[in-house]
Amino acid sequence: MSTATQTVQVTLSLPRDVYERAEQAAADEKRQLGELLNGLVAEGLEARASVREQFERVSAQYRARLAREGKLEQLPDEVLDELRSLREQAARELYP
Amino acid sequence: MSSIRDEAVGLDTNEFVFALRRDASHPACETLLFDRLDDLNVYLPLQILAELQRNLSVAEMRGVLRALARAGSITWDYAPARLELIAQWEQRGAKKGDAVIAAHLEAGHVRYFISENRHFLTELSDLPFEVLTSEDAVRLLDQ
Repeated sequence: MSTATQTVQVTLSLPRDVYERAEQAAADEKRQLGELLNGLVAEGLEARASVREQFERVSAQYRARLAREGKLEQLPDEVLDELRSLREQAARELYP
Repeated sequence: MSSIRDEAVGLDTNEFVFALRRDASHPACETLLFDRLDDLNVYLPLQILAELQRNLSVAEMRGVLRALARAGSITWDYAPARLELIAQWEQRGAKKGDAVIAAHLEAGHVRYFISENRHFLTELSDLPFEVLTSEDAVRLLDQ
């Protein structure tokens, strides 16, 4: 199991006003309070990360997906050819 | 004197793809995006956003957009390119997709377009923007 899917239980003490705002936000978004707090902590950590760290995380996900799809070893020219086709396809769809 | 630091810069989809792949034959893509993004005033038109969406998962796209928000400045251009400009670029010999990009860059007064496609509109003269590779761009940023 990857560390991204493992969970750890944490006991958190919050000022009452912060707790009430979080509870209200969770109710507004129809989410569990724990789920909302989890998201807020993750977003807060992401905001503190450097641009390189942010891109490195996306890159790791992207490369793992390409590996699963058997596309990680594509040659640069093959990648460029695929992107050219995709550009034409997107343009035809956006501007029929 | 204007420089790449002061002007709006368009980034081709291939810059993101090679950077995220960490492609050894295009190392400057990673340098430009991962390390020099805060030096750039990035312009991202609808066509590039659409291409990125086709290449990336929802989570990957969210991560890229979040990182891009840390650029020196960022302009998200969600407006479709002007049809008359696309037609003009096609009449000059550009393929439809490249014509759309050129129309976006022209209308947005974007001075530089960074692409690893060395053939991007090279057959056309009098481009209103300069096409650079990521290697060129990093070199200009270092000057």
